[in-house]
Amino acid sequence: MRRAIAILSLAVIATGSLSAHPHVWIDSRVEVEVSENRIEAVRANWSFDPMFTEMIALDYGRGQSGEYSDSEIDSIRRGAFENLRHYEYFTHIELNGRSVTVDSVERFSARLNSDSFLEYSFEVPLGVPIEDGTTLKVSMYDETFFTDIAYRDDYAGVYGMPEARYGKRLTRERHSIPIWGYMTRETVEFVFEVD
Amino acid sequence: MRRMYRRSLLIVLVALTVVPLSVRSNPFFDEPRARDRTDSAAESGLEMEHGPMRSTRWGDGVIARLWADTVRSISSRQRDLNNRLGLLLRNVSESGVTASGWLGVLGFSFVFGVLHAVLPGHRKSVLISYCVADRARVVHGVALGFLFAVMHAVSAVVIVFATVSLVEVSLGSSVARVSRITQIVSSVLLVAIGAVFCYLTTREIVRHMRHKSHEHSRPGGAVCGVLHGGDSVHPTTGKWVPVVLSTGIIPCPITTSLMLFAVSVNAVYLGLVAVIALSAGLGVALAALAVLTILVKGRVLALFDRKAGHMLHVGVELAGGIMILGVGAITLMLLV
Repeated sequence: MRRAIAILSLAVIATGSLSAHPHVWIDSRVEVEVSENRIEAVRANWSFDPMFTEMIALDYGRGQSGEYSDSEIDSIRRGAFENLRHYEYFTHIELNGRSVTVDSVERFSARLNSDSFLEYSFEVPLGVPIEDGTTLKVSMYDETFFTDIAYRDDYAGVYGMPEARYGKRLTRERHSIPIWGYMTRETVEFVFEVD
Repeated sequence: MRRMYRRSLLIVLVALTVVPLSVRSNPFFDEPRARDRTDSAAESGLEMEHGPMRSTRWGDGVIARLWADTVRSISSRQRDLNNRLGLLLRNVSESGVTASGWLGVLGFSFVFGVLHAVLPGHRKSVLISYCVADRARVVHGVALGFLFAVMHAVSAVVIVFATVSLVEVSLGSSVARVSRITQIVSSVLLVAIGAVFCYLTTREIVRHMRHKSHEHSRPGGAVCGVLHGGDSVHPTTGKWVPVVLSTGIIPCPITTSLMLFAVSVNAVYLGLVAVIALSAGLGVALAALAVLTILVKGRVLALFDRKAGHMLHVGVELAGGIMILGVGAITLMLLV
Protein backbone atom coordinates (compact mmCIF):
# COMPACT_ATOMS: atom_id res chain seq x y z
CA MET A 1 0.00 0.00 0.00
CA ARG A 2 2.79 2.39 0.98
CA ARG A 3 4.57 1.56 -2.25
CA ALA A 4 1.47 2.25 -4.27
CA ILE A 5 0.96 5.61 -2.56
CA ALA A 6 4.60 6.54 -3.08
CA ILE A 7 4.57 5.63 -6.76
CA LEU A 8 1.21 7.34 -7.27
CA SER A 9 2.46 10.49 -5.56
CA LEU A 10 5.50 10.56 -7.81
CA ALA A 11 3.21 10.18 -10.79
CA VAL A 12 1.21 13.18 -9.56
CA ILE A 13 4.41 15.20 -9.24
CA ALA A 14 5.47 14.10 -12.70
CA THR A 15 2.21 15.18 -14.32
CA GLY A 16 2.25 18.31 -12.20
CA SER A 17 5.21 19.61 -14.13
CA LEU A 18 3.51 19.16 -17.46
CA SER A 19 1.77 21.85 -19.41
CA ALA A 20 1.46 25.51 -18.55
CA HIS A 21 -1.15 28.07 -17.84
CA PRO A 22 -2.81 30.91 -19.67
CA HIS A 23 -2.04 34.55 -18.99
CA VAL A 24 -4.50 36.19 -21.38
CA TRP A 25 -8.17 35.30 -21.60
CA ILE A 26 -10.44 35.99 -24.56
CA ASP A 27 -14.21 35.62 -24.94
CA SER A 28 -14.87 35.15 -28.62
CA ARG A 29 -17.71 35.21 -31.11
CA VAL A 30 -17.63 34.27 -34.76
CA GLU A 31 -19.78 35.80 -37.48
CA VAL A 32 -20.15 34.60 -41.05
CA GLU A 33 -20.88 37.13 -43.76
CA VAL A 34 -22.92 35.71 -46.63
CA SER A 35 -23.78 37.47 -49.86
CA GLU A 36 -25.57 35.97 -52.85
CA ASN A 37 -24.96 32.39 -51.81
CA ARG A 38 -21.28 32.99 -51.14
CA ILE A 39 -19.45 32.93 -47.84
CA GLU A 40 -17.61 36.21 -48.13
CA ALA A 41 -15.76 36.18 -44.82
CA VAL A 42 -15.49 34.83 -41.33
CA ARG A 43 -15.43 37.62 -38.80
CA ALA A 44 -13.88 37.13 -35.35
CA ASN A 45 -14.80 39.24 -32.33
CA TRP A 46 -12.57 38.98 -29.29
CA SER A 47 -13.21 40.51 -25.88
CA PHE A 48 -10.15 40.56 -23.62
CA ASP A 49 -9.74 40.22 -19.86
CA PRO A 50 -9.19 43.39 -17.74
CA MET A 51 -5.41 42.85 -17.34
CA PHE A 52 -4.65 42.66 -21.05
CA THR A 53 -7.11 45.49 -21.64
CA GLU A 54 -5.19 47.78 -19.32
CA MET A 55 -1.87 46.71 -20.80
CA ILE A 56 -3.08 47.97 -24.18
CA ALA A 57 -4.73 51.06 -22.65
CA LEU A 58 -1.44 51.93 -20.96
CA ASP A 59 0.36 51.88 -24.31
CA TYR A 60 -2.30 53.20 -26.68
CA GLY A 61 -4.69 55.19 -24.49
CA ARG A 62 -8.45 54.83 -24.28
CA GLY A 63 -9.51 56.64 -27.43
CA GLN A 64 -12.54 58.90 -27.45
CA SER A 65 -15.02 57.18 -25.11
CA GLY A 66 -13.45 53.88 -26.01
CA GLU A 67 -13.42 54.47 -29.78
CA TYR A 68 -9.91 54.57 -31.22
CA SER A 69 -9.01 56.67 -34.25
CA ASP A 70 -7.83 55.01 -37.47
CA SER A 71 -4.20 55.81 -36.67
CA GLU A 72 -4.55 54.44 -33.13
CA ILE A 73 -6.12 51.26 -34.49
CA ASP A 74 -3.27 50.93 -36.94
CA SER A 75 -0.76 51.34 -34.10
CA ILE A 76 -2.52 48.66 -32.05
CA ARG A 77 -2.62 46.38 -35.08
CA ARG A 78 1.12 46.74 -35.65
CA GLY A 79 2.08 46.65 -31.98
CA ALA A 80 -0.24 44.14 -30.38
CA PHE A 81 -1.97 42.10 -33.06
CA GLU A 82 0.02 41.59 -36.24
CA ASN A 83 2.50 39.29 -34.51
CA LEU A 84 -0.32 36.76 -34.32
CA ARG A 85 0.27 36.02 -38.00
CA HIS A 86 2.88 33.57 -36.72
CA TYR A 87 0.06 31.77 -34.93
CA GLU A 88 -2.54 31.87 -37.75
CA TYR A 89 -4.32 34.55 -35.73
CA PHE A 90 -5.47 31.78 -33.37
CA THR A 91 -8.15 31.05 -35.98
CA HIS A 92 -8.52 27.59 -37.50
CA ILE A 93 -11.07 27.15 -40.26
CA GLU A 94 -12.26 24.01 -41.96
CA LEU A 95 -14.43 24.23 -45.04
CA ASN A 96 -16.11 21.01 -46.19
CA GLY A 97 -13.50 19.00 -44.33
CA ARG A 98 -10.49 20.90 -45.68
CA SER A 99 -8.32 23.21 -43.61
CA VAL A 100 -8.11 26.83 -44.70
CA THR A 101 -4.77 28.49 -44.00
CA VAL A 102 -5.27 31.79 -42.21
CA ASP A 103 -2.14 33.70 -43.17
CA SER A 104 -3.69 37.15 -43.46
CA VAL A 105 -6.70 38.99 -42.14
CA GLU A 106 -8.55 42.17 -43.12
CA ARG A 107 -10.52 45.00 -41.52
CA PHE A 108 -8.84 44.80 -38.14
CA SER A 109 -10.46 47.02 -35.56
CA ALA A 110 -10.04 47.69 -31.83
CA ARG A 111 -12.19 49.48 -29.26
CA LEU A 112 -13.08 49.54 -25.60
CA ASN A 113 -16.64 48.34 -25.11
CA SER A 114 -19.22 49.79 -22.72
CA ASP A 115 -17.73 47.76 -19.84
CA SER A 116 -14.25 49.10 -20.73
CA PHE A 117 -13.02 45.72 -21.99
CA LEU A 118 -10.76 45.73 -25.04
CA GLU A 119 -12.31 44.25 -28.16
CA TYR A 120 -10.57 43.18 -31.34
CA SER A 121 -12.36 42.27 -34.53
CA PHE A 122 -11.02 41.11 -37.87
CA GLU A 123 -12.09 39.24 -40.97
CA VAL A 124 -10.74 36.21 -42.74
CA PRO A 125 -11.81 36.54 -46.39
CA LEU A 126 -13.08 33.32 -47.94
CA GLY A 127 -15.17 34.10 -51.05
CA VAL A 128 -16.44 30.58 -51.61
CA PRO A 129 -19.81 29.57 -53.06
CA ILE A 130 -22.36 27.88 -50.83
CA GLU A 131 -23.72 24.57 -51.98
CA ASP A 132 -26.35 22.50 -50.28
CA GLY A 133 -24.73 20.94 -47.22
CA THR A 134 -21.68 23.20 -47.18
CA THR A 135 -20.04 22.82 -43.79
CA LEU A 136 -17.89 25.47 -42.14
CA LYS A 137 -16.09 24.88 -38.85
CA VAL A 138 -14.28 27.60 -36.94
CA SER A 139 -12.06 26.97 -33.90
CA MET A 140 -10.11 29.63 -32.06
CA TYR A 141 -7.24 28.59 -29.83
CA ASP A 142 -3.63 29.38 -29.01
CA GLU A 143 -1.28 26.44 -29.57
CA THR A 144 1.04 27.80 -26.86
CA PHE A 145 -1.79 28.08 -24.31
CA PHE A 146 -0.53 31.51 -23.31
CA THR A 147 -3.98 32.69 -24.34
CA ASP A 148 -7.13 30.85 -23.36
CA ILE A 149 -9.95 31.48 -25.83
CA ALA A 150 -13.53 30.44 -25.14
CA TYR A 151 -16.69 31.16 -27.10
CA ARG A 152 -19.26 33.46 -25.50
CA ASP A 153 -22.83 32.37 -24.83
CA ASP A 154 -23.89 34.12 -28.05
CA TYR A 155 -21.07 32.36 -29.84
CA ALA A 156 -22.01 32.81 -33.49
CA GLY A 157 -24.15 34.55 -36.07
CA VAL A 158 -24.66 34.53 -39.82
CA TYR A 159 -25.35 37.77 -41.67
CA GLY A 160 -26.92 37.91 -45.11
CA MET A 161 -28.82 34.65 -44.94
CA PRO A 162 -32.19 33.74 -43.37
CA GLU A 163 -31.88 31.76 -40.17
CA ALA A 164 -33.95 28.93 -41.57
CA ARG A 165 -31.29 28.13 -44.15
CA TYR A 166 -28.40 27.36 -41.90
CA GLY A 167 -27.75 25.44 -38.73
CA LYS A 168 -25.06 26.11 -36.12
CA ARG A 169 -23.77 24.32 -33.08
CA LEU A 170 -20.94 24.58 -30.59
CA THR A 171 -18.89 21.47 -29.93
CA ARG A 172 -16.03 20.66 -27.62
CA GLU A 173 -13.43 18.06 -28.34
CA ARG A 174 -9.92 17.15 -27.30
CA HIS A 175 -7.03 17.84 -29.61
CA SER A 176 -3.32 17.43 -29.35
CA ILE A 177 -1.05 20.47 -29.29
CA PRO A 178 2.74 20.46 -29.18
CA ILE A 179 4.29 20.22 -25.73
CA TRP A 180 1.09 20.35 -23.69
CA GLY A 181 -0.73 17.30 -25.00
CA TYR A 182 -4.49 17.00 -25.13
CA MET A 183 -6.50 20.14 -24.56
CA THR A 184 -10.14 21.04 -24.95
CA ARG A 185 -11.00 22.94 -28.10
CA GLU A 186 -14.28 24.63 -28.92
CA THR A 187 -15.54 24.61 -32.48
CA VAL A 188 -18.49 26.36 -34.07
CA GLU A 189 -19.97 24.33 -36.89
CA PHE A 190 -22.23 25.85 -39.56
CA VAL A 191 -24.20 23.81 -42.09
CA PHE A 192 -25.78 25.75 -44.97
CA GLU A 193 -28.72 24.87 -47.18
CA VAL A 194 -29.35 26.07 -50.71
CA ASP A 195 -32.64 25.72 -52.62
CA MET B 1 12.19 -8.67 -11.62
CA ARG B 2 9.83 -6.61 -9.48
CA ARG B 3 12.76 -4.53 -8.32
CA MET B 4 13.81 -3.91 -11.90
CA TYR B 5 10.25 -2.94 -12.72
CA ARG B 6 10.09 -0.52 -9.80
CA ARG B 7 13.41 1.05 -10.72
CA SER B 8 12.37 1.44 -14.33
CA LEU B 9 9.09 3.01 -13.27
CA LEU B 10 10.90 5.39 -10.96
CA ILE B 11 13.30 6.50 -13.67
CA VAL B 12 10.44 7.06 -16.12
CA LEU B 13 8.45 9.07 -13.59
CA VAL B 14 11.42 11.19 -12.62
CA ALA B 15 12.20 11.79 -16.28
CA LEU B 16 8.60 12.83 -16.88
CA THR B 17 9.00 15.73 -14.50
CA VAL B 18 11.01 17.62 -17.08
CA VAL B 19 9.78 16.37 -20.41
CA PRO B 20 7.42 19.15 -21.46
CA LEU B 21 9.13 22.36 -20.51
CA SER B 22 7.41 25.63 -20.19
CA VAL B 23 8.92 28.63 -21.93
CA ARG B 24 6.53 31.51 -21.79
CA SER B 25 6.29 34.25 -24.34
CA ASN B 26 3.46 36.54 -25.20
CA PRO B 27 2.28 35.73 -28.74
CA PHE B 28 0.84 39.22 -29.13
CA PHE B 29 4.32 40.74 -28.87
CA ASP B 30 7.02 38.10 -29.15
CA GLU B 31 8.36 36.42 -32.22
CA PRO B 32 7.54 32.75 -31.90
CA ARG B 33 10.19 30.20 -31.12
CA ALA B 34 10.50 27.00 -33.07
CA ARG B 35 8.16 24.99 -30.87
CA ASP B 36 5.46 27.63 -30.93
CA ARG B 37 5.26 27.99 -34.66
CA THR B 38 2.66 25.96 -36.40
CA ASP B 39 4.80 25.50 -39.50
CA SER B 40 7.86 24.57 -37.49
CA ALA B 41 5.87 22.15 -35.40
CA ALA B 42 4.68 20.49 -38.57
CA GLU B 43 8.23 20.39 -39.92
CA SER B 44 9.52 18.86 -36.74
CA GLY B 45 6.98 16.09 -36.95
CA LEU B 46 5.13 17.12 -33.80
CA GLU B 47 1.58 15.91 -33.80
CA MET B 48 -0.81 18.63 -34.90
CA GLU B 49 -4.47 17.99 -35.37
CA HIS B 50 -6.13 20.50 -37.60
CA GLY B 51 -9.71 19.80 -38.28
CA PRO B 52 -12.13 20.00 -35.40
CA MET B 53 -13.55 16.51 -35.33
CA ARG B 54 -10.42 14.44 -35.56
CA SER B 55 -9.54 12.38 -32.59
CA THR B 56 -7.15 9.56 -31.83
CA ARG B 57 -7.15 6.51 -29.64
CA TRP B 58 -5.12 8.39 -27.01
CA GLY B 59 -7.39 11.42 -27.27
CA ASP B 60 -10.35 9.24 -26.43
CA GLY B 61 -8.57 7.70 -23.45
CA VAL B 62 -9.54 8.28 -19.85
CA ILE B 63 -6.26 10.01 -18.96
CA ALA B 64 -6.42 12.38 -21.95
CA ARG B 65 -10.04 13.21 -21.13
CA LEU B 66 -9.28 13.73 -17.45
CA TRP B 67 -6.27 15.88 -18.22
CA ALA B 68 -8.07 18.03 -20.80
CA ASP B 69 -11.11 18.46 -18.55
CA THR B 70 -8.96 19.37 -15.54
CA VAL B 71 -6.97 21.97 -17.47
CA ARG B 72 -10.16 23.43 -18.90
CA SER B 73 -11.82 23.56 -15.50
CA ILE B 74 -8.86 25.26 -13.78
CA SER B 75 -8.35 27.67 -16.64
CA SER B 76 -12.05 28.55 -16.57
CA ARG B 77 -11.84 29.37 -12.87
CA GLN B 78 -8.72 31.43 -13.49
CA ARG B 79 -10.59 33.33 -16.19
CA ASP B 80 -13.37 34.09 -13.73
CA LEU B 81 -10.97 35.07 -10.93
CA ASN B 82 -8.91 37.23 -13.28
CA ASN B 83 -12.03 39.10 -14.39
CA ARG B 84 -13.25 39.56 -10.83
CA LEU B 85 -9.86 40.71 -9.59
CA GLY B 86 -9.47 43.15 -12.47
CA LEU B 87 -12.93 44.63 -11.97
CA LEU B 88 -12.42 44.82 -8.22
CA LEU B 89 -9.09 46.65 -8.60
CA ARG B 90 -10.65 48.99 -11.10
CA ASN B 91 -13.65 49.72 -8.83
CA VAL B 92 -11.50 50.18 -5.75
CA SER B 93 -9.16 52.52 -7.60
CA GLU B 94 -12.13 54.58 -8.81
CA SER B 95 -14.25 54.68 -5.66
CA GLY B 96 -11.62 54.49 -2.93
CA VAL B 97 -10.27 51.69 -0.81
CA THR B 98 -12.64 50.18 1.75
CA ALA B 99 -12.11 47.33 4.20
CA SER B 100 -14.18 44.99 2.07
CA GLY B 101 -12.21 46.13 -0.97
CA TRP B 102 -8.91 45.23 0.70
CA LEU B 103 -10.26 41.87 1.79
CA GLY B 104 -11.60 41.18 -1.67
CA VAL B 105 -8.29 42.04 -3.33
CA LEU B 106 -6.35 39.93 -0.83
CA GLY B 107 -8.69 36.96 -1.07
CA PHE B 108 -9.03 36.92 -4.85
CA SER B 109 -5.29 37.43 -5.33
CA PHE B 110 -4.37 34.62 -2.96
CA VAL B 111 -6.76 32.10 -4.51
CA PHE B 112 -5.70 33.22 -7.96
CA GLY B 113 -2.06 32.60 -6.98
CA VAL B 114 -2.80 29.07 -5.80
CA LEU B 115 -4.80 28.22 -8.90
CA HIS B 116 -2.22 29.84 -11.15
CA ALA B 117 0.51 27.66 -9.71
CA VAL B 118 -1.56 24.50 -9.85
CA LEU B 119 -1.47 24.56 -13.62
CA PRO B 120 2.12 23.79 -14.51
CA GLY B 121 4.75 26.33 -15.43
CA HIS B 122 6.82 28.62 -13.20
CA ARG B 123 9.83 26.30 -13.70
CA LYS B 124 8.32 23.78 -11.32
CA SER B 125 10.39 21.17 -13.12
CA VAL B 126 13.50 22.93 -11.76
CA LEU B 127 12.05 22.97 -8.27
CA ILE B 128 11.24 19.26 -8.47
CA SER B 129 14.61 18.46 -10.03
CA TYR B 130 16.41 20.31 -7.26
CA CYS B 131 14.45 18.48 -4.56
CA VAL B 132 15.35 15.21 -6.27
CA ALA B 133 18.99 16.19 -6.80
CA ASP B 134 19.82 17.57 -3.37
CA ARG B 135 19.32 16.13 0.10
CA ALA B 136 16.75 18.71 1.02
CA ARG B 137 14.58 18.43 4.13
CA VAL B 138 10.94 19.33 4.41
CA VAL B 139 11.74 22.73 5.89
CA HIS B 140 13.95 23.43 2.87
CA GLY B 141 11.07 22.49 0.60
CA VAL B 142 8.77 25.00 2.28
CA ALA B 143 11.43 27.72 2.14
CA LEU B 144 12.21 26.93 -1.49
CA GLY B 145 8.57 27.11 -2.57
CA PHE B 146 8.07 30.52 -1.02
CA LEU B 147 11.45 31.81 -2.20
CA PHE B 148 10.62 30.79 -5.74
CA ALA B 149 7.32 32.63 -5.50
CA VAL B 150 8.78 35.75 -3.89
CA MET B 151 11.67 35.98 -6.38
CA HIS B 152 9.24 35.43 -9.22
CA ALA B 153 7.08 38.34 -8.04
CA VAL B 154 9.93 40.68 -7.09
CA SER B 155 11.45 40.20 -10.52
CA ALA B 156 8.12 41.07 -12.17
CA VAL B 157 7.62 44.18 -10.03
CA VAL B 158 11.19 45.41 -10.62
CA ILE B 159 10.91 44.87 -14.37
CA VAL B 160 7.56 46.67 -14.57
CA PHE B 161 8.75 49.66 -12.53
CA ALA B 162 12.03 49.86 -14.42
CA THR B 163 10.25 49.65 -17.76
CA VAL B 164 7.63 52.22 -16.78
CA SER B 165 10.40 54.56 -15.62
CA LEU B 166 12.65 54.10 -18.64
CA VAL B 167 10.29 53.44 -21.53
CA GLU B 168 7.54 55.76 -22.63
CA VAL B 169 5.97 53.70 -25.40
CA SER B 170 5.07 50.05 -25.93
CA LEU B 171 5.31 49.11 -22.28
CA GLY B 172 3.61 45.76 -22.75
CA SER B 173 5.94 44.62 -25.50
CA SER B 174 8.98 46.08 -23.68
CA VAL B 175 8.13 44.08 -20.56
CA ALA B 176 7.67 41.00 -22.73
CA ARG B 177 11.11 41.53 -24.30
CA VAL B 178 12.81 41.99 -20.92
CA SER B 179 11.03 38.89 -19.62
CA ARG B 180 12.38 36.91 -22.52
CA ILE B 181 15.93 38.10 -21.82
CA THR B 182 15.60 36.97 -18.21
CA GLN B 183 14.46 33.56 -19.44
CA ILE B 184 17.59 33.27 -21.59
CA VAL B 185 19.85 34.33 -18.69
CA SER B 186 18.04 31.88 -16.40
CA SER B 187 18.50 29.02 -18.87
CA VAL B 188 22.24 29.69 -19.19
CA LEU B 189 22.59 29.75 -15.40
CA LEU B 190 20.63 26.50 -15.10
CA VAL B 191 22.98 24.77 -17.54
CA ALA B 192 25.92 25.88 -15.39
CA ILE B 193 24.24 24.87 -12.12
CA GLY B 194 23.17 21.50 -13.52
CA ALA B 195 26.74 20.88 -14.67
CA VAL B 196 28.08 21.72 -11.20
CA PHE B 197 25.51 19.41 -9.57
CA CYS B 198 26.53 16.59 -11.90
CA TYR B 199 30.20 17.20 -11.22
CA LEU B 200 29.75 17.21 -7.44
CA THR B 201 27.64 14.05 -7.47
CA THR B 202 30.02 12.25 -9.81
CA ARG B 203 32.96 13.27 -7.62
CA GLU B 204 31.12 11.88 -4.61
CA ILE B 205 30.44 8.61 -6.40
CA VAL B 206 34.12 8.26 -7.37
CA ARG B 207 35.26 9.05 -3.83
CA HIS B 208 32.79 6.59 -2.42
CA MET B 209 33.92 3.85 -4.79
CA ARG B 210 37.57 4.45 -3.89
CA HIS B 211 36.73 4.50 -0.21
CA LYS B 212 34.69 1.33 -0.48
CA SER B 213 37.47 -0.41 -2.39
CA HIS B 214 39.95 0.70 0.24
CA GLU B 215 37.78 -0.51 3.16
CA HIS B 216 36.98 -3.83 1.55
CA SER B 217 40.63 -4.53 0.90
CA ARG B 218 41.43 -4.13 4.59
CA PRO B 219 41.89 -7.34 6.55
CA GLY B 220 38.77 -8.22 8.50
CA GLY B 221 36.50 -6.10 6.24
CA ALA B 222 35.90 -3.10 8.51
CA VAL B 223 32.53 -1.37 8.33
CA CYS B 224 32.71 1.59 6.03
CA GLY B 225 30.16 3.90 7.62
CA VAL B 226 30.23 6.51 4.86
CA LEU B 227 27.38 6.70 2.40
CA HIS B 228 26.50 3.06 2.78
CA GLY B 229 22.80 2.61 2.97
CA GLY B 230 19.92 4.72 1.71
CA ASP B 231 19.99 7.29 4.50
CA SER B 232 20.91 10.85 3.78
CA VAL B 233 24.12 11.48 5.60
CA HIS B 234 24.65 15.05 4.50
CA PRO B 235 22.31 17.92 5.15
CA THR B 236 21.37 20.06 2.18
CA THR B 237 24.49 21.76 0.96
CA GLY B 238 23.23 25.21 0.19
CA LYS B 239 22.99 24.57 -3.52
CA TRP B 240 19.50 26.04 -3.38
CA VAL B 241 20.82 29.61 -3.52
CA PRO B 242 21.94 29.53 -7.17
CA VAL B 243 18.89 27.46 -8.11
CA VAL B 244 16.47 29.98 -6.62
CA LEU B 245 18.36 32.96 -7.99
CA SER B 246 18.65 31.53 -11.48
CA THR B 247 14.98 30.61 -11.83
CA GLY B 248 13.48 33.34 -9.68
CA ILE B 249 14.72 36.11 -11.98
CA ILE B 250 12.10 35.08 -14.53
CA PRO B 251 9.16 37.37 -13.89
CA CYS B 252 5.75 35.82 -13.45
CA PRO B 253 3.74 36.99 -16.48
CA ILE B 254 0.53 37.27 -14.49
CA THR B 255 2.31 39.45 -11.92
CA THR B 256 3.65 41.71 -14.66
CA SER B 257 0.11 41.98 -16.05
CA LEU B 258 -1.23 42.76 -12.59
CA MET B 259 1.37 45.46 -11.98
CA LEU B 260 0.88 47.00 -15.42
CA PHE B 261 -2.83 46.98 -14.67
CA ALA B 262 -2.24 48.70 -11.32
CA VAL B 263 -0.03 51.32 -12.96
CA SER B 264 -2.64 51.87 -15.67
CA VAL B 265 -5.53 52.45 -13.24
CA ASN B 266 -3.25 54.44 -10.92
CA ALA B 267 -3.53 51.99 -8.02
CA VAL B 268 0.11 51.02 -7.52
CA TYR B 269 -0.10 50.36 -3.78
CA LEU B 270 -3.18 48.24 -4.20
CA GLY B 271 -1.40 46.39 -7.00
CA LEU B 272 1.55 45.69 -4.73
CA VAL B 273 -0.78 44.31 -2.05
CA ALA B 274 -2.42 42.11 -4.68
CA VAL B 275 1.01 40.89 -5.83
CA ILE B 276 2.00 39.99 -2.25
CA ALA B 277 -1.22 38.00 -1.79
CA LEU B 278 -0.81 36.36 -5.19
CA SER B 279 2.78 35.42 -4.34
CA ALA B 280 1.63 33.91 -1.06
CA GLY B 281 -0.81 31.75 -3.01
CA LEU B 282 1.90 30.77 -5.48
CA GLY B 283 4.25 30.03 -2.58
CA VAL B 284 1.75 27.74 -0.86
CA ALA B 285 1.30 25.68 -4.02
CA LEU B 286 5.02 25.56 -4.84
CA ALA B 287 6.01 24.71 -1.26
CA ALA B 288 3.43 21.91 -1.21
CA LEU B 289 4.89 20.51 -4.42
CA ALA B 290 8.46 20.73 -3.09
CA VAL B 291 7.53 19.04 0.19
CA LEU B 292 5.62 16.33 -1.66
CA THR B 293 8.66 15.69 -3.85
CA ILE B 294 10.99 15.43 -0.85
CA LEU B 295 8.64 13.12 1.03
CA VAL B 296 8.00 10.91 -1.98
CA LYS B 297 11.71 10.70 -2.75
CA GLY B 298 12.33 9.53 0.80
CA ARG B 299 9.49 7.01 0.71
CA VAL B 300 10.51 5.59 -2.66
CA LEU B 301 14.14 5.22 -1.58
CA ALA B 302 13.00 3.55 1.64
CA LEU B 303 11.35 0.82 -0.44
CA PHE B 304 14.75 -0.51 -1.37
CA ASP B 305 17.25 -2.31 0.77
CA ARG B 306 20.23 -0.35 2.09
CA LYS B 307 22.70 -1.17 -0.66
CA ALA B 308 20.25 -0.76 -3.50
CA GLY B 309 18.83 2.29 -1.75
CA HIS B 310 22.21 3.96 -1.64
CA MET B 311 22.89 3.23 -5.31
CA LEU B 312 19.46 4.51 -6.21
CA HIS B 313 19.92 7.56 -4.02
CA VAL B 314 23.11 8.58 -5.73
CA GLY B 315 21.64 7.71 -9.12
CA VAL B 316 18.54 9.80 -8.49
CA GLU B 317 20.63 12.74 -7.34
CA LEU B 318 22.75 12.50 -10.45
CA ALA B 319 19.56 12.31 -12.51
CA GLY B 320 18.31 15.44 -10.74
CA GLY B 321 21.47 17.31 -11.73
CA ILE B 322 21.10 16.10 -15.30
CA MET B 323 17.48 17.25 -15.24
CA ILE B 324 18.44 20.76 -14.16
CA LEU B 325 21.09 20.85 -16.87
CA GLY B 326 18.54 19.50 -19.37
CA VAL B 327 15.88 22.04 -18.39
CA GLY B 328 18.38 24.85 -18.95
CA ALA B 329 19.67 23.44 -22.24
CA ILE B 330 16.26 22.70 -23.74
CA THR B 331 14.67 25.99 -22.71
CA LEU B 332 17.72 27.79 -24.09
CA MET B 333 17.28 25.98 -27.42
CA LEU B 334 13.61 26.94 -27.46
CA LEU B 335 14.38 30.57 -26.68
CA VAL B 336 17.14 31.37 -29.14
